[in-house]
Amino acid sequence: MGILKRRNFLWNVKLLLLLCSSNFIVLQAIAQQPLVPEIGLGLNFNGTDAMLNLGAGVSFQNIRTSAKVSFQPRLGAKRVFVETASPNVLIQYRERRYLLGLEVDKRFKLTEFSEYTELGLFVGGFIGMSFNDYRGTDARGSVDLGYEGMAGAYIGDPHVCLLRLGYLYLPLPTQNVFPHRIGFSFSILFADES
Amino acid sequence: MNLKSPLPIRFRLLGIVLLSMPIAACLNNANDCVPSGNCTSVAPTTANLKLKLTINSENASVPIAVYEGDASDSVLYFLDTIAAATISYTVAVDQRYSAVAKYRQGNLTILAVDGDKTKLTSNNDCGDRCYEVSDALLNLKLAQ
Repeated sequence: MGILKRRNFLWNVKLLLLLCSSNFIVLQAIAQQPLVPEIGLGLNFNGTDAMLNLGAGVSFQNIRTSAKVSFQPRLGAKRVFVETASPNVLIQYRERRYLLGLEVDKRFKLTEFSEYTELGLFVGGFIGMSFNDYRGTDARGSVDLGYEGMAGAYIGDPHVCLLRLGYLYLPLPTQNVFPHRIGFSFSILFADES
Repeated sequence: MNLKSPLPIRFRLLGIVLLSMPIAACLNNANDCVPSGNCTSVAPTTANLKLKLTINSENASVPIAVYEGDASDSVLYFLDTIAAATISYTVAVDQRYSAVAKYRQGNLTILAVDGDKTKLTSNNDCGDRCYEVSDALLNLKLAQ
């Protein structure tokens, strides 16, 4: 019994070391990528809603991938109905909504116009939390899972700036807001040229 | 000896631009300043509280309650019944207000809530302090 316990313990230690070493290899591979700081400003909208997108993060230049912490506040407020304890009474609030999370996109270069300017496609996604509040009241909003998917085209110099334009799917728990949106963003990259 | 700066040129340029803005503002002397014509040099104490309402056949007049602060926890400022789509009240500046409008829709009662703040801002206009008031706008219209 004691020998079995000791074997299990050694097996667990080996497994832990293996996991640590594999994580270390992944971290080392990421660390070897030329990282470039990136800040971005964007807007996504449709006929029912519009959200600003403020992002800051890094671009992994070798694998043409950007990872940013993204904060997306709604522009203005949406009128929503909230049920009350009484079945015949509804409250109409003006809801403000925010998204906070991680946004990642992968770029695929199609062509180069010059030494500095390239055109390509991108796919990406956002995952994080979606939370809201209401104007004129301290009534509690809710915190939900927020996610979005996006795809489109980009143009620019991946060392200096990128302009992205595309389709965005962003489902929100707000009434009468369609999830299909047009999104565009402008990113500035701070590549070290020295 | 390597005298090269550890910062890339782009960061240095950004730093110079960011630093030059406050320096330029400080060096701006009053001689080359053109004052704006409409400077309010005395701080106003009042602003407008504007309300937008839905007036229809079911709601020819709408009862409203205006609160100081948030509607849920604060002081009732006044009650009124409005028969117009927009109305404006004179209220204190730099204060948060909220309002609740009560509508009938079939056998439903809808309470529309909104809140905003009247703001007082000031800016330096060629050495003079000028004040500006931002009104509060509460949109209590019913959603379509």
